[in-house]
Amino acid sequence: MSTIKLETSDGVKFTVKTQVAKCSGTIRTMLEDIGINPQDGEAIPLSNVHSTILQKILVWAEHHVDDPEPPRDDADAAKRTDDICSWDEDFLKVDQRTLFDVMLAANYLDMKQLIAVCCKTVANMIKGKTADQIRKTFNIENDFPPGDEDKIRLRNQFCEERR
Amino acid sequence: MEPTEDAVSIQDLPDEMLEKIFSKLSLEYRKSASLVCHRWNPLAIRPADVLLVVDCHRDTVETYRQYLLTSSRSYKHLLIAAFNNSEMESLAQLLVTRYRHALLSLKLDRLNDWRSIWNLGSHLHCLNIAKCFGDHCDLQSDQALHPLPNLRHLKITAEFLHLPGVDLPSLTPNLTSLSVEFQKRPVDYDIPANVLQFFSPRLTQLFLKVDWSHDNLDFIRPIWQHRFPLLTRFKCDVLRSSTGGYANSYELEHFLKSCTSLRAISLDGLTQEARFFRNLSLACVNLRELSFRAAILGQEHFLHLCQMPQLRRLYVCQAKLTFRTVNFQYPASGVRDLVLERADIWNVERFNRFIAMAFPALVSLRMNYFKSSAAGSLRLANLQRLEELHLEEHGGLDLHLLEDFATLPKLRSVKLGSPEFDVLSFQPRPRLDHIRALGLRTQFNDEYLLRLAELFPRLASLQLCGRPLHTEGGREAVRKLLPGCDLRLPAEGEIVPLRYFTPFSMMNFGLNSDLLAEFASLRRLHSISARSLKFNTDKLKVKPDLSHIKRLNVWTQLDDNRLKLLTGLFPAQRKDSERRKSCFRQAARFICLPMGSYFRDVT
Repeated sequence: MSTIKLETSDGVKFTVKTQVAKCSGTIRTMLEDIGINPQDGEAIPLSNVHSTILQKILVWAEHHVDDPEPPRDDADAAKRTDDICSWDEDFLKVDQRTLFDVMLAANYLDMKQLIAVCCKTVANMIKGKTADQIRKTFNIENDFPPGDEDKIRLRNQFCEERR
Repeated sequence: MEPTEDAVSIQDLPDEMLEKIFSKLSLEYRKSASLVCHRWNPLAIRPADVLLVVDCHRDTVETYRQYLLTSSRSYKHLLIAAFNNSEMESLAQLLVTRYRHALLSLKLDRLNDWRSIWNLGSHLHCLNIAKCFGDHCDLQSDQALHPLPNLRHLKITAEFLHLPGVDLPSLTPNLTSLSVEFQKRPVDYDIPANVLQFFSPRLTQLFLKVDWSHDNLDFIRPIWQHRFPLLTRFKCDVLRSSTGGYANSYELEHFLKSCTSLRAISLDGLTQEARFFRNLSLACVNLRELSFRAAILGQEHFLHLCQMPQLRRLYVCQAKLTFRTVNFQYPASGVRDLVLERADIWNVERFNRFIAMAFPALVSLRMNYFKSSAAGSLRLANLQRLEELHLEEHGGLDLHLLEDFATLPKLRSVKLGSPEFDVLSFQPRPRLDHIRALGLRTQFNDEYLLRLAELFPRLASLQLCGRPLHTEGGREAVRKLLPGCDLRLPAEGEIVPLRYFTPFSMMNFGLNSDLLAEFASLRRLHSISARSLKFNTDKLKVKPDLSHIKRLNVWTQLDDNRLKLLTGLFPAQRKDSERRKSCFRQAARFICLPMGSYFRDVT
């Protein structure tokens, strides 16, 4: 089975099955379109990804490598967040810092399925909370000038979901 | 990036990723997110995703002026309900002028000066002015209309097409979707021949809505003579007229057969002859969606529908379902989505067999307000692919359904509405850890909540409405049992999540004395639709204060006494009572309002 090497921002080299590495759209493009040929053990540099995060992402890619292409879903299905499989759920039971690092790396590596499941996870963390509770959850500062929040709340009242 | 040194937070995610996260949330949660911080505000509520509703029955013109005209935010989708209020008319002008370059869709409700707004709509893709016509409107004006070359979707009344100076082919030459309402007017207006001729080769969508009080439907017959080769969606609502839906269904069948691109059809007031269903299945072999209302259906009808190989979605409203036999050798194996709205089931046991045999590939099943005429209760079996289930019944649901759920391996989301669903009296403990979302409309207390958490140990979302009898302690205990679950329970005195069930279901409420008392406490509620009236006049001796309710639509027979009672109860009802009276006398006016959205304030 063919393998390739990846080198992370902190200089750690990983040897990965090509098929697993191709879960990343970025790496797939490098290999297929641009024609980078990682012969002689030369590693593909991933200057935006730290080794601890890449390791985690590779675990995910290994588990999902044989997943079928997801069907093109209608708008209704795109909204649902209760369809995270239990393996992914456990996989993403990590502290926020790691979760967001994984998301940034997944974004850089262009891994759509991983991004989708992370976004659902974060959406579930937001659901059912008030603005204040959300700020507390994610440690966000309220930077609205006094009074603005009420204005927005009122303006929001005029908005309805488009059908 | 050094995960060990820099503390990465959600604010490090790029905008597109935050937008992706917000896109997974319903508007209600996006509204909370928009209040979090400056950066989140425009990302959580994007103009493209929301409809701005400016309705002078909901807020004052002054409030809208203050909050909309001072904001730099622009909107793409706008609904203005002016109710012929002159201040609102001028605000409408200002808003449309302000948003005109961004505005994609616009709906106007009772706006006299719709012509000026039309002339501001050069960027519009979608315009709905059907509600600007009718008894309440003054159509006299010589103001000329400008062409709207960008317009793709237009909703109007047939009367509009006959106004002097209105020539649709030159005004809106690029329409692909046309929706026409045939109101009851002194004259029966049709769609002019030149309009049919010009648009029939161009349209991909055609929607017709005929006011049910028409005695004679000859004015829609010319449509059946034209060929619409590009038409993919066709809808025709002929709310049962006394002459019976389509006087001549052969013409309609022939028309449908000639529309070779059709993918979705919605028909109302259908004949119940099995022959029609046979011809439909032969004429529309590529159909993916079919919806129809009001018919008596049995095995022979569904056998024909099973013959449509592409059919994915079937919506049946107000049907009487009666099966002498149930035998589906060739099931509808493509149908994923089945909705039975207000079904009347004559033999539940046969019906259970029918669902199991005829729709083996169902992913989603919705049955709103079904009732069964004979003994027996709804059970589900054999639906190996079912993921979503939504059941609401007038009577009560059978608790053994819980055991059925255990046999449906893919079931993820369940909504149940039933006056009685006492899980506490149910001894078996089926394994239901595959269900991730549960909605229940029932009365509940702490014990009930805990039993739910025990029965459904992996819920990501639990929403209850109905009379809450739980304590804060009970809520906390459930939170501990279901960590991370989106738990939504109404507080004392709230009837919040009515909205959570389909908005349409509000139509089916019998408006009774108890509900009126509840409505009295919802001060932002301004509009009620109800299917029937069941007043206990004793209870109404103390009149509930309903002065905030501005609109009432009831679908029922009214005599003078009841009309008097209603007028007394709803003093703020608009006093165009002569017209209303005549409507009521004709056994009511059917207006479907998205009721649920009016409860937005109580969360």
